[in-house]
Amino acid sequence: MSIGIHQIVKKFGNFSALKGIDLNIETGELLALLGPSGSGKTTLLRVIAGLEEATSGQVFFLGDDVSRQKVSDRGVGFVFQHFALFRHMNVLDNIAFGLRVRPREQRPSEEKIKEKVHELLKLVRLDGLAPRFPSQLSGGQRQRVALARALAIEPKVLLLDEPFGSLDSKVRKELRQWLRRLHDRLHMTTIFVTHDQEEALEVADRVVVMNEGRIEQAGTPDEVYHKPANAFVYNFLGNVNLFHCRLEGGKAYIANTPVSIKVGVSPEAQKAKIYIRPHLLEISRFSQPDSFKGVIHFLNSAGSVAKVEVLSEWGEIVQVEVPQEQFRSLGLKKGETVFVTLKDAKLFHEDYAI
Amino acid sequence: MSGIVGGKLGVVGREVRRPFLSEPRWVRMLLTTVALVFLASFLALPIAMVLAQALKKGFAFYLHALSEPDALSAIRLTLIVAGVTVPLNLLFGVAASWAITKFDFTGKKFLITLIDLPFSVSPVISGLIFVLLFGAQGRLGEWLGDHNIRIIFSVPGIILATVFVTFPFIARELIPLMQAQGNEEEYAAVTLGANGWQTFWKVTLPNIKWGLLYGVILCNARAMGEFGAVSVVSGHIRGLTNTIPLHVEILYNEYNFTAAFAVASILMLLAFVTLALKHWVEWRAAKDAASSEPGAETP
Amino acid sequence: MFVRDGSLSGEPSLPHLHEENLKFTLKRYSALPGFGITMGFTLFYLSLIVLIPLSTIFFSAFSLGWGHFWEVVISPRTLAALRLSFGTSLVSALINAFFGLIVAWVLVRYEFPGKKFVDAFVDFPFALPTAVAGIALTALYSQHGWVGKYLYALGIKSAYSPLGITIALIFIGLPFVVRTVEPVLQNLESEVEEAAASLGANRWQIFSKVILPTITPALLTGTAMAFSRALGEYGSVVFIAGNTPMKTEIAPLLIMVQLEQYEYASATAIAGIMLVVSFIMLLFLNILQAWGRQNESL
Repeated sequence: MSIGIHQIVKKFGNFSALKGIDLNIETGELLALLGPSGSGKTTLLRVIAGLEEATSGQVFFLGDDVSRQKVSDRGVGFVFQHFALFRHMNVLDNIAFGLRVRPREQRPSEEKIKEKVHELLKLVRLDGLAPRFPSQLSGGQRQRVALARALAIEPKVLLLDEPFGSLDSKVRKELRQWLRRLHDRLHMTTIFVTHDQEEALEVADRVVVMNEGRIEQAGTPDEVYHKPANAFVYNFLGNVNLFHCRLEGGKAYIANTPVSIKVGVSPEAQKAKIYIRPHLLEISRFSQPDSFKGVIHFLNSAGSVAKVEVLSEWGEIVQVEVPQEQFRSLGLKKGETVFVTLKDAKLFHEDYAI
Repeated sequence: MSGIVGGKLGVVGREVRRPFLSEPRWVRMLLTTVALVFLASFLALPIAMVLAQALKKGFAFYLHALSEPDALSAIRLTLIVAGVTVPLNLLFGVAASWAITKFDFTGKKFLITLIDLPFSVSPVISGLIFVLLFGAQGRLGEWLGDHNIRIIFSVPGIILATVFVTFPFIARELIPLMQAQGNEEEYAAVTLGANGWQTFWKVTLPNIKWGLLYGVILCNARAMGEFGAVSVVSGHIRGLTNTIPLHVEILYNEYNFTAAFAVASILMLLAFVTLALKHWVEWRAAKDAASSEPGAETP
Repeated sequence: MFVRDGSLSGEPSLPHLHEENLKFTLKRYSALPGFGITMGFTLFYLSLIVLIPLSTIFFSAFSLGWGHFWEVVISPRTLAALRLSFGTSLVSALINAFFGLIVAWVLVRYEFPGKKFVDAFVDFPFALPTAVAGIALTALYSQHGWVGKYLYALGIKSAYSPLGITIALIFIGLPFVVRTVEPVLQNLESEVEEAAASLGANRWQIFSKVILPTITPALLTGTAMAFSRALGEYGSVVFIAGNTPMKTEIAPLLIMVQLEQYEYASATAIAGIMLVVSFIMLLFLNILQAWGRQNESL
């Protein structure tokens, strides 16, 4: 089912949580709403579900305006951040709830309900846990019960609020790959909210980056990562180094080091910011074109890449990620003088506030 | 304010203290003795006194005092009063706590204070206000008199005064409980298509049942035992407008002490049953809370 | 900040009550149904049972006129009753504060056989109808009672006297201090005491400098509750008081006496004074409790 979001504004008193959101979600799409705390992503999800009422604007399901429809009539499957399982019901009763509260004429027989519950339990790989109570389940199991419960009403759209937020990191990783595979099987329009960029980039077909009640960029994981629309998106999707520079004659100067720039801003901007990810910096022992000088300040080679901090000649710490192989062949030591080259930098206006 | 200070629902186990964090043995002994003597003289002695006086003239007299017609009619009236009061205040308690905990609105704190108000009003004043409102000296009272409707010195007045003094019991038990539980389960229920009634009966009620029962027990005890407010509005008409506590007073004032204590012993029994039920509910609620905590995982 | 996505703090993302939200609308949108009917019934029932009846006191008191009202209030009998009520309530509340603290301390910190049973019985005065308490205490403390006979032998008139009233008020106020102090003592982390001990404080210093300040709001709250309850108490006092005008007649009883003599105006005037005092106590208690919560959240 496709979802249209038109000019949604949500105010809490004087505070605007959503400042005019426009977004279209295609049938069968797996979409991530990504943003920091307070960016409005959860509010947007709750507005789509009908758990919050928008101050103005419309929500369309398959082209029909559902803005005034009650949440119980919208037929959305909602998975809550803390799962909101019914404490006093066992897993079977939890999953069957949505079917049992239907009006008598639409309610399946108890046998059919049980059959459906077991089918769902198999789908979420919890067969045999039907008589357990939520308190007897692990976090990951609760998560999957919550998902099965939402799927039981055969929703047209599945909405997940920080679905992996309250799980520990190992379970998180397993579950998000599993969610991806599940979506590929069910092909149900799915929107999930997350503050974890890795999660969004790994799972979603499309990522919507939000900040302060606005959409900063919507695009495939590849697009938002490699072609960030602005400094916020670039900054939010991973570690970055930030350099203030001045533009002169088509070249950027960090302190007095000239740097060649591939992506330009309007030439009249005198001051600009350069963002660059640690893995897009290269360390060498000899001076290169577009390189600056620095002293190795800190080294940590535990992990898939070695992390090196270089104290630049103008007195700022610069983070560099070096592949292990190269790290070993360079044989870097603390206190050594090195040269750092910018491989691919992004330039943004100085006045852009993050 | 009269009534019971916040429920003990949810108070769990006590830690064992390190010896160096305790007092010398003699201080502990002294404090324990002081506490127990104080409690014994103010709690155990009155209990013993009621029993001793009630059975002073033998068991046959005791039974006789309980089975005479005036005593029986007092028991019946007390049951009627509690039977009307408790369901009314239960309905109110549930409605008020739903409105207060499930929604955000202006003036919520003020509303909670208003609900608590009857606890800080003297029982005598609680009766007086209904005499002023419906008594023969007022305009409303005149009109009621002309239409032969009796409220004061009659059962409706007794019920009204009792409803007033027990007004906050159930609401004040439910409001903090429902606030602590939050609304996420209710939200989950409506996204799954449940309507308001289904959400309340299937999701909210099972979660608050112990708090609800707790409030009902306290409300019932006060409804059956209320003396001051009922005394003002009843008119003390024997066999007609006497509840058990009022019957005790009449017997006592007639120097019929043994009978007075015999009837009083029923009220004391009510107090014991109330305490026992209250502690049973606390125990059950603690057990439920412990078993629904995430820590109670089984592999 | 009103809406938090809560992802980092791990809190539920539902925006809770925020004063600022309420500037424009009286009620915030909620996906849950039933506001109209439950709120409607709440306000209707509250008005019918509590607000309208209570307001009659003030209407009646106003209709008395200031002169008449004042005349009743400053009559020697009223003043004597008010003085007696306030005095005995205050003394009984202070005695309960002292013994209540010891009882709470012993129940939380020490072990002895039958402790759970004793703990459960602290609530007994709440559960026992006041009339029963009244006649039982009178029988105990009157001249031939189990306790009274020894006290009378010493020349202490323990019934039909201010002392008798105080005894009854101690009984009905007993649970308040114990039940407000107990949870605070229980939640007191032993780490704080361990820290004090590690810094060289002895037991008495730890109690007076660390524990007592922490439980002070609760102790005051319990004492104020006991006082407030004692002020309005009728059932347990009326039997033991003696009820002699000017000497052993408490304010609630005086209201009752005036009513029985159809002196509605006087009854209303005294009730009005008592109600105002109750409301002041309620306000004071709210402030105390806010202070207590602040203390706990530190």
